[in-house]
Amino acid sequence: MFAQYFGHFLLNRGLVSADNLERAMAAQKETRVKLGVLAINIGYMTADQVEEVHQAQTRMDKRFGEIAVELGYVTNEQVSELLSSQQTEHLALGQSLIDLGIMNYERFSSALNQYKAEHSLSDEQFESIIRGDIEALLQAQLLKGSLAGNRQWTDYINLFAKNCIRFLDSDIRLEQRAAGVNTPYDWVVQQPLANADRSLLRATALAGSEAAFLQLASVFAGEAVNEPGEMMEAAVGEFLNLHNGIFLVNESNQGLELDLNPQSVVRGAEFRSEQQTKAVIRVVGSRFEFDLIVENLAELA
Amino acid sequence: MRDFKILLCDDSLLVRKKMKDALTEKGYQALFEASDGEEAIAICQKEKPDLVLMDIVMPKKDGLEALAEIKNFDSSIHVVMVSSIGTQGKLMQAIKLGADNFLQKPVTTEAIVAIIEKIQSGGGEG
Repeated sequence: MFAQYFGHFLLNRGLVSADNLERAMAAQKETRVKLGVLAINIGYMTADQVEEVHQAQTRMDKRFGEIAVELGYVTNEQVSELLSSQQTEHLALGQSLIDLGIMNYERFSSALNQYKAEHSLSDEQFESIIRGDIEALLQAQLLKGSLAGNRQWTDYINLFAKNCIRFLDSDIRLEQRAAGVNTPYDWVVQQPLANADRSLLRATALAGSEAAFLQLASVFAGEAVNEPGEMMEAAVGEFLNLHNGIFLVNESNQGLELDLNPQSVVRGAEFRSEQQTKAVIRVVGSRFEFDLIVENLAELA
Repeated sequence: MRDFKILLCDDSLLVRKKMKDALTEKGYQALFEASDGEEAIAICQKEKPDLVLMDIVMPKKDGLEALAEIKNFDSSIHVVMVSSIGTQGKLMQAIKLGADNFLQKPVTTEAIVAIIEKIQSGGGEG
């Protein structure tokens, strides 16, 4: 998931063009991350040192790790650690950008540092993010401002991101939409969450264009859903229902008992959210974009 | 296997279709469908299925109410709850009302088949 944010960051800061980013992302699945990128990522070597080792490799028949150890940049233990480390997607993206000649080691390294600085991340936070910690990533990217400090919202959105990755698409990015943005949606699937005695309801909803709903339905159902109708509604509705059910189990484990009403699908124009306070999150996947709308769940506690 | 009647009750067409496809592939043919608790009760009265796979959150009549009514008029019908809300509370409620088992969504075909085989071998109290 960090690869999506990092790619978007590179694009927004003008560090890569949209075309080149697309090329690199397409190539990334086939890319094997090499030791140099791993060493830069974790801060064991600088970009200059990596370049130097690569230069040396053109003159002698030795592995990257051997030369790097000989030059005293890393220890044998660090090489073993890097070789067995988890190769997260942003590294594959970085390697792919480097392999395609779009970026060099220096620019990749400074882009990582720039991302870290702009998001005011500590070494520890950044390390969690690059190791694939979704909660740390969403904390830095999304769960700020009005969303900060609301445990139910934070838990709900963290879980939603994980369920998107689990059931829909590993390549997603979540962004907060400004409050009061009135996007005309074609379709909305909604499911109210209730407190234990069912005296209070707070809406959760997925909203989007018809094309997005059809894509979402096709991906979740595992078969083509080509037109609006019961299957589209059932698939998108069941995804929300499944997510909400898992959220209820997690909340119950934390001592908060909640309940669910059945989900329903309405035309965008018929959707009403009575509550002033709500989070509107844009979910950007490789094949669809839609909004997650969640009223203030902390009020159900 | 042919005679083993299964009622699939879920308000989601997708869930019913997935379960139906999977069970058909495993050779189960006597399959019925209901999209809410009221329909499920009506089909149970008419068809006397061996097993009901029952969702909980549904319009009109939810799965727990339907479970209670079905067990009330025919306690030999096995009812297995299949719900996304696998909380301790829902589980206890379902057991109290006579549910034979409880599966949390998403469910695998293997889990459903294991339950069917258990019932067929007479160990349905699961």
